[in-house]
Amino acid sequence: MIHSRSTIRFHPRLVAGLASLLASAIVLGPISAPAQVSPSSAESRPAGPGPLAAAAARAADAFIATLDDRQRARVQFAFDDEAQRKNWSNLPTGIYQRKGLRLGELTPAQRAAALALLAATLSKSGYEKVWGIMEGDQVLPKPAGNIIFGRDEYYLSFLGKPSATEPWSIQFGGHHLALNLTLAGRRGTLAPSHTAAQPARFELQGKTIRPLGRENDLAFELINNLGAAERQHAILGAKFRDLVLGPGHDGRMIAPEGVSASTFNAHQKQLLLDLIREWVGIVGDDAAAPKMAEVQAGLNETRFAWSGPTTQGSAAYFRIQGPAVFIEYAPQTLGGDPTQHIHTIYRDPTNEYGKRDRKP
Amino acid sequence: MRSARHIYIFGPLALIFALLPSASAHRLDECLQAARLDLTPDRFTLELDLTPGIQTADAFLSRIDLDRNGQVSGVEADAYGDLVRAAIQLRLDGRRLGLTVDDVTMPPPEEIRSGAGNVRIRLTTKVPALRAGPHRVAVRNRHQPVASVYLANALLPDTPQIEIIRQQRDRLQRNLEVQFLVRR
Repeated sequence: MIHSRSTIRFHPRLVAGLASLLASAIVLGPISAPAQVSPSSAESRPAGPGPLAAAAARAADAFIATLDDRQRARVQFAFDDEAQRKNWSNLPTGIYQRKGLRLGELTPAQRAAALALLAATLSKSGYEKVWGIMEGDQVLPKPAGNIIFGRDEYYLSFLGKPSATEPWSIQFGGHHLALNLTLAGRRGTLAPSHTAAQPARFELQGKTIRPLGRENDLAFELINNLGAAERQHAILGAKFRDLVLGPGHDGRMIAPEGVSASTFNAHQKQLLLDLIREWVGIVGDDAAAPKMAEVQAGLNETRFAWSGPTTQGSAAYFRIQGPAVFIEYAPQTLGGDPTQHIHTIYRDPTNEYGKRDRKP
Repeated sequence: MRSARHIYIFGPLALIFALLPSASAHRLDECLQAARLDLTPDRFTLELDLTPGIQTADAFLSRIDLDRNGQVSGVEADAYGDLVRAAIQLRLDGRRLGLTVDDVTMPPPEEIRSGAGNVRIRLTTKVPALRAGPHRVAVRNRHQPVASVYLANALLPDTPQIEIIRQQRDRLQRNLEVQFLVRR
């Protein structure tokens, strides 16, 4: 009998959704001032050379020192907690429930310490990107009901104890953002991570903010820099309306497509490297530089694929796939203008969640 | 052979999720059908994820909850898996191969109504011994419970015995043809 083999269970998201509904009724508080997260804050992050893991561990310990016992228990997970490791999504609270400490529930001092940790861990441009994504989430019109997003609705957690030498991970994410940084001494990876933006272009204090603007511009520059033959190989005939390996697709890899970077001239190769750096370089240079060297070493085996118009300003999907890097950029039709709603994913087929780096 | 069914119970909680407004974070008026084709020397597996948007969820569920009792039973999940299987054709070098429903994972209807529910159906077929050299496998997806958008991709094979040479799709990605090489 088929049903003797059926499994009846409550889906984790259903349970999480309920928890969220209860939590939102209890802990919703006022939205804190945006000045706490700004590009200028990034400029004042701890300066000077030094292993990223050590700086991150110091900042994490400083953050943990601001917490009470209950908060410490909630922010800390075992390093081998695979369920928590994979507990990330593009979706907002109400549909998807994260664990860890929510920025909106922190005191100003705790929140400043949490953001100082990000600043110590990310590059300046990476920090600005994260800030832009969070600010975009703040200006995005809020629906009534239980779907919650905005700059307060980002969660911070640790897997393992912060350490300059031993493996541990920092998870930071919410709607349209999931950073999964694993550090192991001098080694570190941000894969897999999800960046997204809606709106992808907005005005704030008289400035135009485009959190994923450089990714978009570099990609259009590259596709338009290719010769006719290369472009023909790059452009896929089909429409790609979403990420193929977005959140929830750990452990899978698709067959590579598109034009091989081995056919690129030096300028085109540099454009491709600059484009890849927009994801790899979110993290501080101690981790980003060796990763970029690895990407460069495999550049001739890297493919670049495109779907959509090639006119700057239009909505187009692209994919970069090499031996140690997988990136997708997918405009979303949801919300009307697809150029205003972008999802991206960064993966490393050789080192997801620092799997390789964690080996002794 | 069907290996397992994952089905979910729902009930009064539907009300909570029914109150969710349309959010910009997820699909609204279309169903995403994402197909991934995994080729091994003796078996092909097609995994299909169906994620209906909020505005299409009720119509989508009406194709599954046949007795309208607010629950998806194992029988109904099986029936939906069979419906999908019947709408998908797989051909190897021009010859049609029969597909078997290997697994159906059905999230709670509340989750489907939220736009985040992902119905996953795994179809498999045994493959006759493949001679060394080039081959073609073609997948046609004619399943359209509601207005749909499609993704169709071949996974990177786990074995060096199979190398994907080229993937071709129609513009909507309802048809995927994969040219591959078998090494012995």
